[in-house]
Amino acid sequence: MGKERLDNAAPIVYGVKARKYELTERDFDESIEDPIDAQEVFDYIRDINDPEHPYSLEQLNVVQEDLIKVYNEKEDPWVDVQFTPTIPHCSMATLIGLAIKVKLSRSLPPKMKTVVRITPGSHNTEEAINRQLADKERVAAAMENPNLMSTVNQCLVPREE
Amino acid sequence: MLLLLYICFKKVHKLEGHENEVKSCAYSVSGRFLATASRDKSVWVWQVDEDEDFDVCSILQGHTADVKFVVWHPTDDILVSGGYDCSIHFYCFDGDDFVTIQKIEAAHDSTVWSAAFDHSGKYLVTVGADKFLKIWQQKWAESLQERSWAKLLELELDTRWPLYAVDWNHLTGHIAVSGGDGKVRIFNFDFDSESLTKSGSFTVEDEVNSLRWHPTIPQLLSVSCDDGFIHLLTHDC
Repeated sequence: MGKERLDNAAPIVYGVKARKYELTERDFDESIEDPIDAQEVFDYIRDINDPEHPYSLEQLNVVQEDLIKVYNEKEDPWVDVQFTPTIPHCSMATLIGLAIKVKLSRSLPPKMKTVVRITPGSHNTEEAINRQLADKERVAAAMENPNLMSTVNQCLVPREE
Repeated sequence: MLLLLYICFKKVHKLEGHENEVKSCAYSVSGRFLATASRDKSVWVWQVDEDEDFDVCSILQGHTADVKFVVWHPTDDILVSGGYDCSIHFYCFDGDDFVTIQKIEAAHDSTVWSAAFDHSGKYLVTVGADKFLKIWQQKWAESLQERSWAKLLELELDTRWPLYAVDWNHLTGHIAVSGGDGKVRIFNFDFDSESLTKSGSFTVEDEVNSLRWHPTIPQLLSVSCDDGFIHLLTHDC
């Protein structure tokens, strides 16, 4: 963070989704287990900070609830998260993908796998980036890299409003 | 069945050279060489002498990305490596140095994670992130440098996740495969018809990174997982 020239000097800032949750009787019943849904996953990642701009991934439309699919299969629960870099040659795309992966690994149940990938057609090197994010050894190596993790953790710090 | 092993080892040597994580290491069947594979894209071969001293013999830099594994031929000093660049490389010793015999580019459509030879060394099985299991056949030559490999067959497994591990039972001919889905699949390879048939499966609780058949107990398979456990399974067939 703190480059001389930003990749995208003037990103479009979008309005954010209202955070109103309709509570039903089921929500107050302690014995009912709530399956993870797209809304919950979105809540985990919507406030991740963009590494370059003082906005959240939701505000820059990098993540959207519609691009999250949760598969609650008993034997193989997993989540598919697509993210859309603001410009096709965004050099921060891998870092953003890594931040999403890290946030979800810290938030979701341990057995739930995640696929974090670029929204098809929205980046020049999406295949290469998707492959890196899908390689668990590379992700583990990245998470052991102190410089990289310091940048990722800054993206994950909640912003003061 | 779960087994926790407590074994006493004494540190004898520390070999330096690789720039980052070493993913795999293996001794040649002769015991003369130790090969290592790293995320730094290189394969190192160390020569072991009678005094158990290790000297660097060769540094092989043919791969263009992380090398995930090295595996030795069961009877000859032929080495195979594979990894993130989707290729498999074959090497042998020419008297002074290890040289590349063959490179198979795009052996898989994604990372090649693991490989294993059958008992004879005539066949090599590889598995990858593309969910494929592929068998390669050796074209024999007296001189190791003139050997070559070609694809015999390939099989796409019904799984959503990468295949990380494969091993070939030298006693029974069975191939065990597993990966991100934790499902250990056993196949029988018929050496006469050169074909594969399914022979059962068993699912463990977490992603499987590595598995090995016991060298002398025919049905025993050890499976290592992300959850930190080593599972020992017997395959009844």
